[in-house]
Amino acid sequence: MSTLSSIKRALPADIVRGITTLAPLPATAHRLMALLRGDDESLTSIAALLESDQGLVASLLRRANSARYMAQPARNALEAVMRVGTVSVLDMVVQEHLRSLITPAPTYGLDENDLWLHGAASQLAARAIRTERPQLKIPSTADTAALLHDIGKLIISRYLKVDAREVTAYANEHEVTWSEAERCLIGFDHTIIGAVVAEHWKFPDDVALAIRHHHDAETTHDSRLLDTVMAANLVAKMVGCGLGAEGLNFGVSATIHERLSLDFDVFAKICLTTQDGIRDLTQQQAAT
Amino acid sequence: MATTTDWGLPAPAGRGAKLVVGIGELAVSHSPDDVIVTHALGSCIAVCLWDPAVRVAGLLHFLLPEAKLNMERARKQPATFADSGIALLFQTAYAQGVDKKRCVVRLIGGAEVAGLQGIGALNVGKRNILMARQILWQNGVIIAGESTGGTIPRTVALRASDGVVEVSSGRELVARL
Repeated sequence: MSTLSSIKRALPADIVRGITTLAPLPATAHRLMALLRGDDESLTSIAALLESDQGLVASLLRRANSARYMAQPARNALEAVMRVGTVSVLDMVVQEHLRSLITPAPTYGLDENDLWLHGAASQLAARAIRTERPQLKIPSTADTAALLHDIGKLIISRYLKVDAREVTAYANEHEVTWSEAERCLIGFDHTIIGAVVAEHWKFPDDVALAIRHHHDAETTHDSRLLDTVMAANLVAKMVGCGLGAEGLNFGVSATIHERLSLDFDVFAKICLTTQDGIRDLTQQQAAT
Repeated sequence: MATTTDWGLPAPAGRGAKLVVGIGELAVSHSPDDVIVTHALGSCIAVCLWDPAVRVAGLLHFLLPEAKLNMERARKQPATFADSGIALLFQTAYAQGVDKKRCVVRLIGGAEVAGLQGIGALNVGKRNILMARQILWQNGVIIAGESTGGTIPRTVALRASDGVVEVSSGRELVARL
């Protein structure tokens, strides 16, 4: 990710400060990532760390004891982690953290809930793609990358005052995608900033790469994780989550369906699964 | 098939209601002061109908072209698909006195991703437009107006009083049909 370091040096000071002062990921997330990397970490100690966050433990137990897992109820964080898996816990930790950071992103025509729902829908879509295509062995961190893929929008909206209408007008006039219009008008786009955030938060390189290239129609990176994030973003937009001012004016590799072995029927199934997940999520939100 | 479904919004009570239709839902109103609104139209389609004689308006927001993609979903939530949803929209409207011959029908939405043209595996918008047109044409319904395609997100507001459909994207009015 040396290229990201050089990009970071070229960014405006406000943006860099925005990234470096962004609330750090909870220690639990780093330790879960270390565990996933195969470092010397203990699930018991991570579970103990989780216990300090009662809200998170409640969410974790709710998921572990949902019908999906069909077993004896998990009674504590350790049992719940063992039930749902380390990656799902990492997703939940990152999701909670992201939720605490989310603010409206007027530069993109997104209110607070839009930005949050778009990430959540993308995460659900990534999970659905992995479920539909087990033979591709897509890394489960694709879910996390999908959740975070638009984090750059949050930073840009916080620190730059750019009018969504100006970007839209530029994109229309020059017949370019929204990301290209962003780059022309402000010198960089949300994918670049998102990748720098991912690097700052010490996510694995393939996660940062997927965030960086999720609108790169010409990408030559051979990464199923990137393909999954690109398709997950598409699915989230199809089900109407986070269309914002960008709408469908973004780049997608024209051969992504081949790399993910997706035909229209499977893609439609993924859209429906994602829509169901979003409905459940919004109902949960409304109930709490 | 059921008339107004669990997923469809009930006919409004009182005057001047704003009925918000979500994805895979429909609403039909016979109250002239009502406005039926749907947001977040990307590749989805809003089918708007209005009968000037009885001043009944209806709006369907469907996600995918064909019920055969998921028959169970089509039974539970017919408005998810073009074929089952359009049928339900008209049946619900007929129950309120609408006559197909008088119907003014408009299509909005069906945007496509910038990088995906034609009928690719992931191109939902184009499939949705073609399916809606085909179903309406096969049933002898003339489409009076469209604001479809492109890449823009759309919001639709259908006035029951005069059947005018306003299409906006962000804060811009992009069409009045």
